[in-house]
Amino acid sequence: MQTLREELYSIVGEDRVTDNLLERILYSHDLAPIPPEVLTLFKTLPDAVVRPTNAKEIAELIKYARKKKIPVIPRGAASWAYGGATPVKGGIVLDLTGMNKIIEIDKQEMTVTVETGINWKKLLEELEKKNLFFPVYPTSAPSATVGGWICTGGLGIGSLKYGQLKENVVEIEVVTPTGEIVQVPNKPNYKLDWFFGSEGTLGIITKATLRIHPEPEVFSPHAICFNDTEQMCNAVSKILKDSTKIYFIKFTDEGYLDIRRSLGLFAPKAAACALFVFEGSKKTVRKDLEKFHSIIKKMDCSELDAEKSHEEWDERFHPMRIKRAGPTLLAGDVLVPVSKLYEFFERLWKLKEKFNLKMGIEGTVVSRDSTVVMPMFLSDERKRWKYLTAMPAIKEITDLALKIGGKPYGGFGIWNSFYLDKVYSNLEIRKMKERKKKLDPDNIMNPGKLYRVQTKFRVPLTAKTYNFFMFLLKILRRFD
Amino acid sequence: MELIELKKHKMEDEIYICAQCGFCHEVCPIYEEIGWESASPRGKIYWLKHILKPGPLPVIEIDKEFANRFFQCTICGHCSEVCQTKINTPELWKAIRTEIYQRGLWPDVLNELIEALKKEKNVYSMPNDERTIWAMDIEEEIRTKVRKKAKVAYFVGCISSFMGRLADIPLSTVRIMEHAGINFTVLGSEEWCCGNPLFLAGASSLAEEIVRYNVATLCKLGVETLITTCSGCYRAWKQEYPEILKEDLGFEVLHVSQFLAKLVDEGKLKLRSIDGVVTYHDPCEIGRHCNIYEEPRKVLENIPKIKFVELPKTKKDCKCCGGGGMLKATNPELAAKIASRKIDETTEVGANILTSGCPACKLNLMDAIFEREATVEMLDITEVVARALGS
Ligand SMILES: Cc1cc2nc3c(=O)[nH]c(=O)nc-3n(C[C@H](O)[C@H](O)[C@H](O)COP(=O)(O)OP(=O)(O)OC[C@H]3O[C@@H](n4cnc5c(N)ncnc54)[C@H](O)[C@@H]3O)c2cc1C
Ligand code: SF4
Ligand code: SF4
Repeated sequence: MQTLREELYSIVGEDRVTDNLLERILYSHDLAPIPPEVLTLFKTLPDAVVRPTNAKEIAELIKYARKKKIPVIPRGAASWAYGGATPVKGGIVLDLTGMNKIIEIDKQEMTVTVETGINWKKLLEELEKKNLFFPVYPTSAPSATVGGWICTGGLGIGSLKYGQLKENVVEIEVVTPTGEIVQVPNKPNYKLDWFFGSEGTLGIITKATLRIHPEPEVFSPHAICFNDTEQMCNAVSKILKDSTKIYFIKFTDEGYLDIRRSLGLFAPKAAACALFVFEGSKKTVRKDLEKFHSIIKKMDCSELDAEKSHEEWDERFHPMRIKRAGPTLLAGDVLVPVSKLYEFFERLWKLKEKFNLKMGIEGTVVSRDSTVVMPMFLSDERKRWKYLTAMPAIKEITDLALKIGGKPYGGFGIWNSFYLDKVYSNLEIRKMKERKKKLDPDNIMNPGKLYRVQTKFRVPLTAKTYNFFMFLLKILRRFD
Repeated sequence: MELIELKKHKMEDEIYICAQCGFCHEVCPIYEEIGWESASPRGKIYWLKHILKPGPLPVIEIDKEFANRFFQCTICGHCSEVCQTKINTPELWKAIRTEIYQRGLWPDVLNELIEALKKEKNVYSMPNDERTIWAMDIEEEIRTKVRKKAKVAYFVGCISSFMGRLADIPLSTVRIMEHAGINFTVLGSEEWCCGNPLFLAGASSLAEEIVRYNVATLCKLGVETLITTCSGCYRAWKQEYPEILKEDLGFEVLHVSQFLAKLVDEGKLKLRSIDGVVTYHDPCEIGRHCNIYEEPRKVLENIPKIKFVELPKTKKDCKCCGGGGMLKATNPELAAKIASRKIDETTEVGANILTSGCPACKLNLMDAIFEREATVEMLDITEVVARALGS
C-alpha cells in the first residue's frame, strides 16, 4: 500500500511534499503561543505538508483529500493568531507562499492580478516601481499574504479612506472544496462576499485581481503628542468629522509608550500619541492639512517634527516591537465605536489594574465611526501557570468591547469562534453553515474551526465550556 | 532539553522573544531557494523553542540532520535587519553552531578545516610558507615588504593568498599602495588565518591562540593601521578580536574600501575613466555587520565619468551573494544557486561589471558567472581602482 506521502508525490512531485517530522512541527502552529494544556485537545501536527505551485495541482490534491476524507489546511504566512492555519485533527497543510507571482498589471483597467501567496509588502514594492499603489494592507504586510488577508480581517492601513479589502477586490479564483476551479463573481451562484473572512473553510483562493491607483504625489504623516487621552479621543473624532479624506489614523496610550521607552525605543513623553496620515495630490493634501492644523491648534498637544513623524509612519509595520519586554505578548483585538473610544480606554485601564497587567494599547481607525483597538499585555509563556491564568484577560477585553457596542475583530478561527453569535445573527450563522455544507459536503476544508471548534476527541468545544474554563482560570488566578 | 550554549551566550530569551511573525522570510536567501519553513530563520527559531519546551508534540533529536540545517545559513544578518523584535540572529546562529560543535555534530568538512588550521594555519591545508604565492609575478618587490617595520600592514587573508583565481585582489592592492606612495608590510608565511571560519562555525573557543599570535606579530612591526581586503577578516579583526582579547587591539583596522576612500580624500589617487557599467554588491560582513556602505561608493564615484548603477536592493537591504557563513564549504550547491540570483540582479540594472569588497563574494559570484556563461565581469573594488589607475 502506498503511504500518504507517496500518493501526494504522484500529484505534485517529490520535492514539494514532506512528511518529515522536523518540517511538520513547523507547520503545526501559527503566530500565537498556545499553552500546552490547551494544545493537547487538538491534533495540531499535520500528516503531511505540500507546497503547490498552481490551481490545477491544488484541485487534484483536494479531490484526493476528499476521496480519503483528509482535512486540508491552507496556510499563508501563518501571521494570524487565531489558529486558522493550525490543524486541529491533522491533515495536509498547503503552504501557499510559493505561489507568489504577479500575473498581470493592467494599466488600462487599473488592476493587478496576483497569485495569492505573495505578501503585501512585496506587492506594494513591485507596484511602486511602476508608480502604482494599492491603498489597503495589513500592518503585517512584510509577511501576510494576499490570500491570508482576504480570508481574515481585511481592515488595516488605508481602510479609513479606501474601505475594507473587499471593496478593493474585483475578482478571485477559488479551488472549491470539491476540486473545481472557479472565477468569482463570474461563476453563477457564487458571491465574492462569501470568501472574505472565510478562513480557508470554503476553498483555496489561488488568484486575486485588485483595483489599483496611481501612486499618490505625497504622503504626509503627522505625529501628535497629547497631554490627555480624552483630548486625543476628541481630536480623533473631530478630525474624522471635518477631514473627510484622511488616509490613516493610529494611536497609542501611555502604557504602550512606557513599554517602548523601557526598551530604549523612541517614545515621546505624553499621555497618548496619534499619527495622522494624509495622501493624495500636493494640492489636496495642503488643503486637508490646513483644516487638520486648525483643529489640532486648539488642543493641548504638540506635533513632532517631520522627520520623527516619518519615522513613526515607517514604524507602522512593527506593533510587536514591544514583545522584547515580554517575552510573550498577549493581545485582545476588537472593533469599537469611535464615539466610545475614551470610555473603552477607561475600562481597559481598570482591567489593567485588576489583572495587574503590563499593558499598552494601540489602535487603528478603520472607518468614520469605528476603530480597531489592540490592548497588548506582557507575559511569559515559560511560567506556565501564570501564563495560563493570564488568558481570561483576553476574554475580558472582548467582553468589555461587547458591553460598549463593539465586537471582536479579525475573525474567529479556533480561539474567537466562541463569539460567532456576538458578531452575526442566528439567521446569518445558519446561512453560513448551510453554505459551508453545500460547498464542502465532506467537511475537508480547514475543519473544526470558525463554525464550531472540534477537538481531537471528537467532542466540540462550545462557548459554554470556554466560558466555564475562563471563569475557572480567573478564580485560580487569585491563588497565584 | 537544555541548550547549554544558548544559555551561555544569553540567547535563550531571544527564542521566546521571536514573534513568529515571518517578516524575515522575504529576505532570507536560503528560504528563497528552498522554500520550506525549515529553511527560514523563523522556522529555525521555532525548532529551538520546541527543543526547550516540546509541549504535547513529539520531541526532536539534535542529530546530524538537525545540525546540518543550521549550516544552511550564510549568517548574512538580513533577518536581523528586518526583525521587528530586533533579534541578533547572527549571534544566535553562531551560538547554536557552538552547541552543535560541542555535541560533536559538525558537518565533516568543518572538522577537516580545523585540522588544516591546526596544522598549517590556513584553511586550505597548504604549506603556510606559500602564503605569498599570489605575488609570484612580483616576487622581488614583495620580498622587500615581508615583515618589515611599517605603520601600515596589509593582511591578505587565506582566500586571496592561496586561490590563484583571486590573486588579482592582493596584486591590485599592492599596485594601489605603490601608486599612493604608502610604505607597508605584509606578514607572508607568518600570517595565520584570521580565524573567521572558526567564529562563523561556532568554534571561537579554538581561536584564541590565533588571535593572540596575529596581534602580537603585527605589534612587533610597529603597525598602526591594518588593512584587509576580505570582509570576513575585517569583521573578525573588528568585532571578534577585541572580544576575545577583552581589550583594544592597539592599532586601527580598515577595510580596503575605507582606506581607498581616505586616499581619495587626500587626493592620492589619480584615477582615469574605465569602460563599462559598474554596480556594487555590499558584502554582508562589512555592510550589515559593520555598516560600511558609503566608502566603497565614494571610491567608485570618484572614478571620472564612471557609469555607476545601484542593484535593486542595496546597502542594508542588499541580498547576500551566498558565499558567507561557511555555506560554500558546507552546502556548495546552495551557495551557487544564491549567487546566480545576483547575476540576474546585475543584468536587470544593466551593469556589466559587478564589483564588491570581498574575495569570498568574488569567488562565489565568479563561479556563478562561469556556470551561467554570463557576460558579466566580476571585479573586486581594488581591481576596479587598479584598472582606473591604468594598470
Ligand atoms: C505584526 C502584525 C500585524 C498585523 N496587522 C493586521 C492588520 O493590520 N489587519 C488585520 O486584519 N490583521 C493583521 N494581522 C493579522 C494577520 O497578519 C492577518 O490576518 C493576515 O492577513 C494573515 O495573513 P497570512 O498570510 O499570515 O494568513 P495565515 O495566518 O496563514 O492564514 C489565515 C487564515 O486564512 C486561511 N488562508 C490563508 N491563505 C489562504 C488562501 N489562499 N486560500 C484560502 N484560505 C487561506 C488560513 O487557512 C487561515 O485560516 C497582523 C498580524 C501581525 C503579526
Ligand atoms: S542570517 Fe541570512 S541566511 Fe541566515 S537565516 Fe538570516 S537571512 Fe537567512
Ligand atoms: S522577523 Fe524576527 S520576530 Fe519575526 S519571525 Fe523573524 S526572527 Fe522572529
